[in-house]
Amino acid sequence: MTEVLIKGGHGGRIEVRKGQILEVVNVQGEQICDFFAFNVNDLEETLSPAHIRSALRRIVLKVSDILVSRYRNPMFEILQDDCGVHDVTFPPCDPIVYERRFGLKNHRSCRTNLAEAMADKNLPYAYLPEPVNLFQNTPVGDGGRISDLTSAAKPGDKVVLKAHMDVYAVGSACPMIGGVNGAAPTDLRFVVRDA
Amino acid sequence: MSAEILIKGGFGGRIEVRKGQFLEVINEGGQQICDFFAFNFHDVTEHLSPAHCRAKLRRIVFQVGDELATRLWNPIFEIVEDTVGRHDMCFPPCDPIRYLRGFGVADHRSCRTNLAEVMADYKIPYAYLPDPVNLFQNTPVRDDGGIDFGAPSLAKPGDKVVLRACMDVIAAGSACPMDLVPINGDMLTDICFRVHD
Repeated sequence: MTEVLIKGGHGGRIEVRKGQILEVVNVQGEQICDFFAFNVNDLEETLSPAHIRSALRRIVLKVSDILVSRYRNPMFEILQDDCGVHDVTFPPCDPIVYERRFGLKNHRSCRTNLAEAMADKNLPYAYLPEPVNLFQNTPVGDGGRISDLTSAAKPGDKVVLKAHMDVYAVGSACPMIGGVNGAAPTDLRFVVRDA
Repeated sequence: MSAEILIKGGFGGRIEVRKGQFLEVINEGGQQICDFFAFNFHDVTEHLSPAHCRAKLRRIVFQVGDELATRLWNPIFEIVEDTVGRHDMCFPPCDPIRYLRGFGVADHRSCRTNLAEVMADYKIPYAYLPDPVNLFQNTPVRDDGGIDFGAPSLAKPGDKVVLRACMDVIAAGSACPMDLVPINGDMLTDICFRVHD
């Protein structure tokens, strides 16, 4: 068993072998996890929200769903979900969002957290993939409108995923201010274990 | 000044649009999906991004008056006119994997390879080609989060979407080659890109 604690506002990464289980744990609750994944053997093959929506014919996730890559291959299966509210439509926050919306320079962001967590792989920043936003409460309804609500995750809530290929899983404990992560960003834990 | 290109059904095409110019995307035969892509003419790593459009609009699809955004959150087009009102910003482009695994068909044309062909001279890595805004695609998202897939496009012959460019762009379109499910109606038809001041 291996695990990493991802501090609120920061990023982290863990390797998950095919068949292993990855638990994404919301330690204190109300924390969004921008979740990214890469095929260990081909980093261009990433978890892809667009291909997930297409494969599932849905923009919401459910237990037993298969989450696919850009090449339409299964990467993860959802085994358990204590929260039930996630997002597969938003890009990660990035420095531009903080600067233009809040006038904040050098604020941490999910996109730069991902870049940091994968820095040794030299991926082009412009082409970093989009996330599955675990625990993000941005429901679509009322004719396609998207609402911004506080994460519905309670302390200890987790999403349990089974890997269908060898992957690098990266999480960003979203640094966004303004209530979507509750009062302030808090920690996430990645736990990897054998099935 | 004006220019136009006809994109044959199942194929791709590209045109340059200067800031302030209008781009009309015209459904010549009706019921034809146009996978639509756009790149900042001065930096092709900045492209139209459906994810950033959704986030900026706080809506799953666009309406007249909306500004479509790039990966860097900059306005790239404003929607000036839309005679159909049913489009998609959720689906990836079809690709050879979809035709091979979904239908057992090898070497079928696809929106992704059409984009790769029309942008070949820019040498954008194939893996990193952007997701499209699927003009005229009839895959509405229901309030329960489900997506209705399979019905033909609602576009009638001559229907169009008119966009005003907010920067200098290279616009690429693929007249979607999907002919194994009837989302493009009974047959693939042509898309016209017309640019004018």
